[in-house]
Amino acid sequence: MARSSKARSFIVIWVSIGVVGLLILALPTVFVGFFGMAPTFVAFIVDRTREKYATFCVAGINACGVFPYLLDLWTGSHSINQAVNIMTDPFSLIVMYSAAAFGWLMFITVPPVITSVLGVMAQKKVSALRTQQRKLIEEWGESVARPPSNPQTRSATGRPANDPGRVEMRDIGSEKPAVPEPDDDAA
Amino acid sequence: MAEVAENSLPADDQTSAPDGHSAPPTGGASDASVTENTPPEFDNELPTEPTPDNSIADEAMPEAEPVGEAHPAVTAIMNDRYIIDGGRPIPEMDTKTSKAYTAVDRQDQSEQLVALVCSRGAPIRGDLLKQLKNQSTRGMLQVIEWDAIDWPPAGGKTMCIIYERPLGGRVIDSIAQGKARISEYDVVNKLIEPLIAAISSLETIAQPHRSIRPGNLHFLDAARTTIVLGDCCSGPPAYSQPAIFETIERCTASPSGRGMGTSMDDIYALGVTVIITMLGYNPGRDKSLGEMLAIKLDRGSYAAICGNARIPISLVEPLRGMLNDDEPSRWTTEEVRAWIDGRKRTPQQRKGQPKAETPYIFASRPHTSPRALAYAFSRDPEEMIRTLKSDENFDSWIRRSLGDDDLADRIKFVMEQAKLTSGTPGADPSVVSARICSMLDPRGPIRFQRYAMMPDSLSFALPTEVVMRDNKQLISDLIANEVYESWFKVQERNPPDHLIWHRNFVQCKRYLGIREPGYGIERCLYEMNQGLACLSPVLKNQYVTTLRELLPALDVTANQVDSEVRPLDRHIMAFIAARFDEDIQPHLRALSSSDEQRRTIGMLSLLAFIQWKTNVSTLLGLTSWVGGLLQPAINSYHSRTTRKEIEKAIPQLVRQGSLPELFNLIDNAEKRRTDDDGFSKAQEEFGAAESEIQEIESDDGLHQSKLLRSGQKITSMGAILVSMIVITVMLISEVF
Repeated sequence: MARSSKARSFIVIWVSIGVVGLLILALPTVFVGFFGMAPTFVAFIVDRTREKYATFCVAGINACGVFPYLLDLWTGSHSINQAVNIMTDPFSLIVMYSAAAFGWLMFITVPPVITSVLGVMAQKKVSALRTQQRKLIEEWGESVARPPSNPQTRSATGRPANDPGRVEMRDIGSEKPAVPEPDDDAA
Repeated sequence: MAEVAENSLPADDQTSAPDGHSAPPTGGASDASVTENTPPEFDNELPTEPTPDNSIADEAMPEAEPVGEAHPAVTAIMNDRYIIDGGRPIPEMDTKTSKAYTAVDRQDQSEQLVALVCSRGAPIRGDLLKQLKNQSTRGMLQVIEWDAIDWPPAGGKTMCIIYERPLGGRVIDSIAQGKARISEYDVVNKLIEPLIAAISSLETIAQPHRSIRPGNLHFLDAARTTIVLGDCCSGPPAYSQPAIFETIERCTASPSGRGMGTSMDDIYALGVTVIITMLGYNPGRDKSLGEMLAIKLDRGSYAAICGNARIPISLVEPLRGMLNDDEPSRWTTEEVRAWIDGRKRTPQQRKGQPKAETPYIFASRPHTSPRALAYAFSRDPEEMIRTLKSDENFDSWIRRSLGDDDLADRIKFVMEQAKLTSGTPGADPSVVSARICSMLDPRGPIRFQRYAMMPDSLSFALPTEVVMRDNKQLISDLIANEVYESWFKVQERNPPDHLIWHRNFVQCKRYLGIREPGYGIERCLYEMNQGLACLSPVLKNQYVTTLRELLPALDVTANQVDSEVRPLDRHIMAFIAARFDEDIQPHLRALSSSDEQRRTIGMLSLLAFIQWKTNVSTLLGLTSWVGGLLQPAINSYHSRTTRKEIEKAIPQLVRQGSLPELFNLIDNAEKRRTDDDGFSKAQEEFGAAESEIQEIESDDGLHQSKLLRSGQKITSMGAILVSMIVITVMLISEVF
């Protein structure tokens, strides 16, 4: 317990150091990134699932909208003024936030389509399994559909080994192994 | 006096009913046949009483058909040598269990033979036949051959015994027709001497004759000089004997229950035979068995049988010796021989039987002997119980008149015990009656209901009562209720024979207690009588006495029975269990299973085991028969492919006629294991597929939400991918 809290403290310290370092070294990038990726942060808060699929979906497309402006910043003047210019340009904001909106749209519309496709595939699998079961019944009879009572030690007549009335077929023909083969007779 | 002529016979003797049957329960045909062929003055059983207490003495003998009935169209050949001609009966040689016909030897047609065709199911004395075959024994007809023959009038295959034919006919017939005479001077040389020789010969092989009576004496030669004894092997010992020829101990037993006895019983029968042959009539013809028994007990057998008839003085001593009711004091063969040789013996004093001072009245008749009373009690057990419960005089009669306090106490104890355990099998009047009768007459037979048997008769009594007389329930109850125990308990001595007899009863009781196939009364039959042929309806046209004969017989039967009938029924299973030395308990358990698959595999396994053990070669018919019944066993395999393979292979194996091969095909261990493993895997596969289908088709929304999440995941991954491509393209275009 103490160890985990200590580790968490270390993480917090290092993240803080990283953020401070980033703010000092790349404040314009952080500025554009923070405001450009704002829909993603919203998605993270709104998405209550453990897997955060919505967040990933929005973040991916949102990043596509933000990255061109970050590239401009990195290849041009990497200053806070340039960052403010980008973020105050309505067109750039529309691009960034539209991309995020498209991400949301994707997340809402694409999964049902995929589900339908998977459903069709599942039905095909059911059909294949039924066919397999039919073949098993044809080969082994209706009794194959019954769950095995004691699969390890069933007798030929289906009686379990611990059945007191069970007679092993080997017992019945206990002397049988000594039955002479036709060759022996001939000899 | 000893000269007997036909017209010397009393008129009433000639018309008296044979066997003492006033109303034969088996129908007139059988009775009429006996009347026709058996001179009544010699062979009749004691006349019946008009009261119910006559049936022990008058057990009617079921016969397959009337004695002497000709079957012109029927001819059988034994061993490709002896021809039995059904159109030429010899009624005077019939017995109660066999019919006599003329037989011809193909190799020597001058030899005159007689064939005794036994009733189907009648137990024969196979052990004795084996020893007598082709052995010329003085005083006996020679057994030429014996084997089973096809005899349709008997209902299939049955046993037939070939004897040399006595050319002079039956002694009593010759005497009656005036063709021969036996004077008091001839009786020793012509009658006693050869018969004693025969008894002695049989004594050396520990086999009594048990059929010594005037009606079974024959002139061997046409000149009528040599007398021989007739058949004694075609039925149970003493089965055909009228009761008068039996000792006091055995005369009240039912015919099938008279037991093997010893040569001492033969000596007794010889004594009676000599008297009746000389007199020409039965002196006790007008007495019932109960009356004769009472007289025998009161005055002794000699006086009872002779009555007022005049006996040559020279014969009085040997006849008294032969008819001595005390067996240890009875003359032996050596003593008779000594007398024949002229050595005199001290006249014997008769030992008196226990006798009451005053008679006890039961069923309106006075009884002074406890043994006679036991016989009377056994005739009406219910009345006996009523009497003993209500009549206080009985106890005092035993204590005062008989002077036997111990006997009175034991009877009282039995009655009190029956009262306390009322409602149990042990308190049944028949069982209580049996116990009390054994106490009153310890040397008499085991008496149960209206049946009585000597304990040494079990091996012959079982098949006779169960098969021939359909008395299965009675004999089963006798054994199951342990009625025999009361007899063994009251014996003063317990010789080794008693232990053997007791063990046999106990063994039978154990078999009767098990209802499964291979046990029951059928098992008792075959265990107790090793020579008994299998009585299965399936084998009605066969005669199977050994295990080695069984499969070939079934092979022949295969073409004659409905293919749906199974080759193993209760009789055959019991026969196998009794005759097979190997342990077949697992097979019997499988055969008694309610699961048809197990029963079928058990049947095939057992038959295959027998074929292998008995080294019987090809059995095409039986293999084909069994092969047609194997569908349930084939169905024990899960795999349809395996089933088809087996079904395809069966015809090929059927052509080999090998049951072991068929069994190997049906119950192949490797194949069975592969089938089991495959089936287990198939079940698992089926279950997994079913689970998946259920998951896909479930309508609880889980699957839909899962799919939706998958769509969202794909979309987000796509968005990330697009952004990475766009950023990469922008960077590259900016650089270049």
